[in-house]
Amino acid sequence: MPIIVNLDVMLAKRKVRGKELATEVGITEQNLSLLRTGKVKGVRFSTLEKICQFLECQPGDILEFVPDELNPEG
Amino acid sequence: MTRQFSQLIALGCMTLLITAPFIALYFLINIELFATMARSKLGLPIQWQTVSDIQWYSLWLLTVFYVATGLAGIYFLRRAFSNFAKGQLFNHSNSRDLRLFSILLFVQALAKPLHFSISSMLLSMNHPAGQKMLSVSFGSDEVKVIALAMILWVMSDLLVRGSKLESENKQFI
Repeated sequence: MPIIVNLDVMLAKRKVRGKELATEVGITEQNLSLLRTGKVKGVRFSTLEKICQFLECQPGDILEFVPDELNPEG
Repeated sequence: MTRQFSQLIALGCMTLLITAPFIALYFLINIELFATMARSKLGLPIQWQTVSDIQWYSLWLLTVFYVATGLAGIYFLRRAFSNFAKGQLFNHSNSRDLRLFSILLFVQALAKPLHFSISSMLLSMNHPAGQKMLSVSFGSDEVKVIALAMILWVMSDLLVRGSKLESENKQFI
């Protein structure tokens, strides 16, 4: 998929653990894991807002568009 | 409230499914009572004194088949409402059960006039030639049941769509 989730990068940059983020955002660790691996169909604006608020970043820092031809994994 | 109503409906269906065979057996043993009920229910100008026991037993068997279609429908209705009572509103099983109920309701609506016709034919078999009967009845009750069956058919489709939406919604975080 051409949308890449860079949540792991942001978590590492902010030195925040996944469990902490999941608790703060109000989602399960299982769902956060799915989000981190990009195995979800979509992210709600409300979830994105909470993530951005907690990690003090922009949606663009978490989501990235990479065309299929540039993304061999896609 | 939905759960309580569903539980009540499921319980009612279960009670019917359990008691119906016993009632049928009771009527088989006490065929005179069945005959009395049939006489008043059918309201046909039949010479009742000509009707033999074998005819009453045949009518009983015919009625059992007719009622069995309704009971089969109730069985599927109970399954769906048991799931509703558990809070499982949208799933394929509910949709299939509701659809089967609507089909059986439709079949029963069509079987009702057929049952009436065969009953009239069966009970007037011993009448002299020229006085045998074939009574056909199709009233607003049957139309209502057919309309209800069609509504339930559409509802079962709605459940399938709802189930798809719910599973899609689960994939959004």
